Amino acid sequence: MYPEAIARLIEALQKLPGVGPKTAQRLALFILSLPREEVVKMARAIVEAKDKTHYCRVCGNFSEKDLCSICLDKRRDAAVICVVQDARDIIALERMRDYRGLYHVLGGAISPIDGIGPDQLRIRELLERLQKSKVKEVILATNPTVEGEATALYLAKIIKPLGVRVTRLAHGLPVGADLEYADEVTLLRALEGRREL
Amino acid sequence: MKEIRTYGLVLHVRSFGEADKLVTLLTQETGKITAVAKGSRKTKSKFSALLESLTLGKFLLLRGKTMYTFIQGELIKPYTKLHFDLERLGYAQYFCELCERCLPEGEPAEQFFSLLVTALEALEQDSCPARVARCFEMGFLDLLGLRPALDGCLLCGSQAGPFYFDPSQGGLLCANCPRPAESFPVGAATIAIMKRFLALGFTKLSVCHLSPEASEQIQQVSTKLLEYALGVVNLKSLRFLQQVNF
Ligand SMILES: [Zn+2]
Ligand SMILES: [Zn+2]
Repeated sequence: MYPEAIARLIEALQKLPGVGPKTAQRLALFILSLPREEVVKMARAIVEAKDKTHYCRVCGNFSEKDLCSICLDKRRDAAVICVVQDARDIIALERMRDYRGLYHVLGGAISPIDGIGPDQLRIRELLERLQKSKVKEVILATNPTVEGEATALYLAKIIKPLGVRVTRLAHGLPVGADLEYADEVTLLRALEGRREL
Repeated sequence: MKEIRTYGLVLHVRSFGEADKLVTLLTQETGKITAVAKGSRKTKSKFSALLESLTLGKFLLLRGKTMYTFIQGELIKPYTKLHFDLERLGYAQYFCELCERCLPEGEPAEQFFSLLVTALEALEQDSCPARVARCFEMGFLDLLGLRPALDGCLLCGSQAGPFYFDPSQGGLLCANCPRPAESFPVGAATIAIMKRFLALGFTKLSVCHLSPEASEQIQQVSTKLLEYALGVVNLKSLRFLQQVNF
């Protein structure tokens, strides 16, 4: 018998169409003979392909089709794009039912220590969207974290020259909290995001 | 279970589970440790600003069997100036990554803590972030016991250049002595600046002129020494800095 890890791989390969136990065994042993990077590349390709078919081609939202229901909805305002880090953030924003524009999912935030720079995010796709369509405003709704702020600042710097209005989701004081308990970072951001009344 | 109170700097924050954070800290008392902060990703968490990358704070932690648990803390300094500029952010996290990758878990590292805090202060003020980074690298190598030997050729003692740096022996070799393949040239100006950084640290850093060539060579000395002595390779923040062209 094979060690457990190999047995598990053989079992997984048998799920492929037209692959019986013998072929699965042969494929498994072939995979084991490859250099580690090759195997990682292969495994990653499978996972990535799987992941990507589940996201909207335009905005990166969860979608079972090529385009998600929000991108397909003609009643939504195509002149406004709200940029978020994660597709899950769209679900949170949609819950309030007040936003009528479109979205763009970055797939993360700039984080040097995690090796995530502009090239690892869907920033090129965003710029292409801005060049192709008549977007008037981009709302940056990345998280109020160090990484989210850095991403927002970077995006503002590259989007503004395109003549598109760039706004940042206001954040600061949590609803229902006392001012005196707020920390200085929260207060600083709340002050920066103040508005005319 | 034992409670510890310590000053610490947040090196790295990772999402953990539903709403928790896994926070790597460089503490003044117990060196590098990892703590789980329960519920800290929720918008109502009182400590979300404290548990952010590049934040100096006072922490109360509970020591468990395998990990620490964050109980509460106080924000001392958030280094906000470093958030607003990708180059400075990249360098600051480079310092953090070096500490995270090179220091052992749970061993006192008070001098590393001071070095890191001093470097972040300098990075906020200095007009040349690369200069701060190179100075940090020298100080960091020195504390690790990897201070490069820069007084003449390691083999024959010659004081005459051109010199090459040999990371496997941690010092200079002259042009007349046999050199291993991994050695690389370092200019006289580069050697002089490294000596200055090792002698003076961050004092009067602003008057020190660092050419792009010297900066690159010093970074190579540091990267190669860490690779040969500790097996530390592929620093992600360094790749980031290259990607964004700093
Ligand atoms: Zn879509
Ligand atoms: Zn020699």
